[in-house]
Amino acid sequence: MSLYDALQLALQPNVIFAVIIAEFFGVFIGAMPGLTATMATALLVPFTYFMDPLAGISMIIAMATVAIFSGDIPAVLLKIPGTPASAAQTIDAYQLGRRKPASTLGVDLVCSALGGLTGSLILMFSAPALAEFTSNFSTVEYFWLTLWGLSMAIVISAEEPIKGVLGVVIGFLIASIGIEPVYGYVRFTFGSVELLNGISFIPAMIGFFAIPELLRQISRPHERYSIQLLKGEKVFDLVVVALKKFKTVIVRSALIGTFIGALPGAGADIAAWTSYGVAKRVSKKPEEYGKGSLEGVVAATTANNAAISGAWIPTLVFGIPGDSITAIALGALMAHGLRPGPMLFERYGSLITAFFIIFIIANLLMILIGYLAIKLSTNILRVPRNILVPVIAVFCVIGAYAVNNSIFDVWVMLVLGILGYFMGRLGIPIPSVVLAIILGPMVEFNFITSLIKSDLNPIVFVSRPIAIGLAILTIFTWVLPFIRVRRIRRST
Amino acid sequence: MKDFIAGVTALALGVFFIFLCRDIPLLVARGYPGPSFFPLILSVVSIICGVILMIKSIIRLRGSKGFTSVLRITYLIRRFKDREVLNAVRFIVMTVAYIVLIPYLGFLLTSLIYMLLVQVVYGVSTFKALGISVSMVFFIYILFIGILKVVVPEPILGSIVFR
Repeated sequence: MSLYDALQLALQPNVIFAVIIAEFFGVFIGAMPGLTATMATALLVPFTYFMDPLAGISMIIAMATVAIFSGDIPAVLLKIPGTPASAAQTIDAYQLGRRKPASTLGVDLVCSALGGLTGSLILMFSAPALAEFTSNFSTVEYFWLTLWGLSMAIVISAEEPIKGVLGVVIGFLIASIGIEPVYGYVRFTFGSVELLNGISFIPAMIGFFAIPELLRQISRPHERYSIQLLKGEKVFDLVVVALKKFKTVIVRSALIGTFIGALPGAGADIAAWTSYGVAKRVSKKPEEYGKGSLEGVVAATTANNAAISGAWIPTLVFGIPGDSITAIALGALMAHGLRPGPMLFERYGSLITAFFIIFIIANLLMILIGYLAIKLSTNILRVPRNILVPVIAVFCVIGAYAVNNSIFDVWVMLVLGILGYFMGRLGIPIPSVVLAIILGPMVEFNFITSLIKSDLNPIVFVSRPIAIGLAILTIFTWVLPFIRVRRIRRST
Repeated sequence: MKDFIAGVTALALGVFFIFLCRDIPLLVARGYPGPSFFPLILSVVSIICGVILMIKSIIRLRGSKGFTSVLRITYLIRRFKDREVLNAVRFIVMTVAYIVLIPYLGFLLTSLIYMLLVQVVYGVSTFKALGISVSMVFFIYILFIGILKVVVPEPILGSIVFR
């Protein structure tokens, strides 16, 4: 296994072609307000089943990378974030865009690529080392690790932690349908043969992430936007000045973005908000934030793309997704027989290194494809939603069907999609549900197996040093919201 | 209002899963946790969440107009007449019909009809909608069936349609 082998794999024409196609798809979806990178991943994953693993996973990586950048296009031109990851910088980007839309997007594009590249390099060097460290983990450590992942999802993704808990419970219960992981007992199938293997993951993901978006879009089918037109300026006009002026901001934001992306359940949107907040706090001109601060735009856009790479660290090392995009990608990895964990790095070293190279290629190619997207942005934004929605719905159906060639899966997608729509309206966070669907069976398996191995001795959960550390981390995560509430009360 | 509905739903979900767990062993040999151990814990957590959400929303809404409207069926009717909800419901109905018809008419023909119908219902001119639907079906055929070799549902009504 060598870097040369990985390079040979990554530079195969079919892989590069897949990356380019995925980047165009990502640009389009990311730029459409309301259509998210997560939804695009859910739509893309079923088709990656029909490709070789590297080309398939590369498509997901490239699509997500570009979609997060192109979410900034409507932020600049319409004052509407294309994806949630662009929300933090929307007001500043729009204010800047009123004067120089193309060059604002140019800075945005280059900083996104730099953020993505930094995240990719950190992923490349940290993931194999972490994987080696975790090779001695037992079911006890994995129990705490998965429980911590779920706890983070509750604390981070929900406005109200109780709704986050409810989301996790719903996800857990959905995951408990089918054959139980320890004893092989059949649960909650109502005699249905299709449910024996549980709810199919990909149809569930398409349902949860695509259908609610389509329902929201079709609720207001005639809504039109007033688009800020590009004024014939050069796209990369401001780039050199911005890079010189904000080099510290870029480095700091890339590191923050990668770190937050690597936390289970925290995605690019939280990374962007955190980085924006930190940049404002240490800025020499905090009063400019919210009124068109280029520094604010640079901070948020660098961080959100860095988070996309960072989210792959826990996904590949522990099998715990860093965000909803990697949660879906995890399904694609499993479908190709690539089970995350230390063994993945041992068995498929070249392939994993090839994934890392793809991250770098995707970020570099993004500059070219992003440039074209900026030039064509006003046309992309004019596609009416009453045309777009039925077309995407057909893609959802074929995607859900293609995984198992089953109409039952299409029904699963629709039912969970409608459920997801109403859950969204009630404020129950979908990412918590999805993370629980993935981690639920792992928590249950590791908990019961640890108890059986120790003959019901609960001390087993704190019998190893790393397990104690993870237990403290988990308990701290539970206590964190209460400490925060107490501090806010004291300060008011 | 949202919290109240979320609370009732969580409560109902918890009770439903406790009911489903009645025939599944809670403990197995030597007292190890059985297959219903985790679902039961989750059901209880769901009930607790539901009760907390309901109490919170009742405290928040008591005395306000919102609380009385919760109890009135007119609220639901008003919500249903809400144009946005109606648009979503219409889309769901058409999508359900689409999925029901796929096994009978085949994927391609049903998709063509579905895309055409949804576009026309939501205000696209018939001619334009037809053009877009036909080109999309052609694109799907080339990309998914031709290149990616995806197997799509074929009609059980025989060869009256091409796939």
